[in-house]
Amino acid sequence: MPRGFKGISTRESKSGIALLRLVFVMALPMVLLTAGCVSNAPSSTNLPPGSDIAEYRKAVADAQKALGRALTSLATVSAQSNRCSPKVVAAFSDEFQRLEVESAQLRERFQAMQARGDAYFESWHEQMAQGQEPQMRALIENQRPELQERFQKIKALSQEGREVFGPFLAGLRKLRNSLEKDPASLGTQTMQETLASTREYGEHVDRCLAAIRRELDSMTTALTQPGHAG
Amino acid sequence: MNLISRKWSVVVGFASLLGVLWVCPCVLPAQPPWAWSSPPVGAIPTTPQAQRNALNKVRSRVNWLQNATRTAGNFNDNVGKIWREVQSLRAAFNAFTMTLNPQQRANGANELAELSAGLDILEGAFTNYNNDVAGGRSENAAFAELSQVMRQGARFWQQELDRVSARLLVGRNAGIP
Repeated sequence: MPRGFKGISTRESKSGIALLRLVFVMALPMVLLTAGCVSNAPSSTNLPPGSDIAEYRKAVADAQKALGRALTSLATVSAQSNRCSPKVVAAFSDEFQRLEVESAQLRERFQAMQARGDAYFESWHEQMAQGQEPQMRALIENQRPELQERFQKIKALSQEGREVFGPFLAGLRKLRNSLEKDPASLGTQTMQETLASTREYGEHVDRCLAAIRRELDSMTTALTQPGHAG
Repeated sequence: MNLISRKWSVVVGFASLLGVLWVCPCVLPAQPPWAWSSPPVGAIPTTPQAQRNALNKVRSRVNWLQNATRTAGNFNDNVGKIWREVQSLRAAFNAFTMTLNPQQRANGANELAELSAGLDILEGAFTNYNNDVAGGRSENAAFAELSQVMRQGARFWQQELDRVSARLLVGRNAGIP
């Protein structure tokens, strides 16, 4: 390598190291300074408007699906002539257990809503506004009367749904136990009456859930398209 | 010698920069709370560390409960074993809620009430078990159902607990504003 080039290269590497040092000296205190700062509300917790409504709606939709399957299974049992095949009983038992588990989240909400009453709405409303832009916060506050009115309906429907969910599950349990013990018991009058009342309870629960969904949808509309809520 | 020390200074500089960059994404309190002083008698600490410990205990109790649903069948007092695990889970959950600061408790009041209701629903499975057995259902079948409902229910419950804990920033700084 010619001497001149070597000289330039050495000078360049020296100035490179010096530059790196300068960067460290300047960057380190800044990085340390910013690393010590804390954000109380990370962006991940800034829930989109009505996200709790969306969660509730999902819990209702999941429970409705499980309920629909249980009702279909109940209809299959009803359609059997006096004796139920073991396969039908097993499928019915599976759907019943599935409903028990998949409706738990919704039943939790029903229970908490009744237990906390109006305080539930206050927390819900506050949570909705949290971390929102001022414009959205103002909208949530403006829509408060409508949201509260719809919440009262949801609360009443939840109470109604909770009251019929219990007998519905109890009816399914009674049917499942009887069929497991004696598949031929299906033809008895008691079983036919239990079948009919359980189906009625199930349909009642379904109507409550559908009405809750409608109210939740209206809440979402009130927050996304104010003035168009039905 | 001079060259070596320069090289070392560059290496150390890089290493410290990488170290700082690694720490950057973490939430670090500017003025960490003094968590080492002994709390007043009877008071339950609400420090992030206390919250993390209490939350881990709850998670651990869920695991114990789920294990019990798998192994309790081998014991005489199978239902009693699962029942005791549910009670331990409830106690751990109650202890956990005591470690939340007033802000977190107020902010998560609905969800905490739902989690508590979830434990009531899990307990309800024992009533169903007793009624089933009293109604003539075989103990084995009733126990199999109890175990399955408990296992799946506990899994969903833990998912809910994790979601709520994340939202309330449990174990992180001072909770949500």
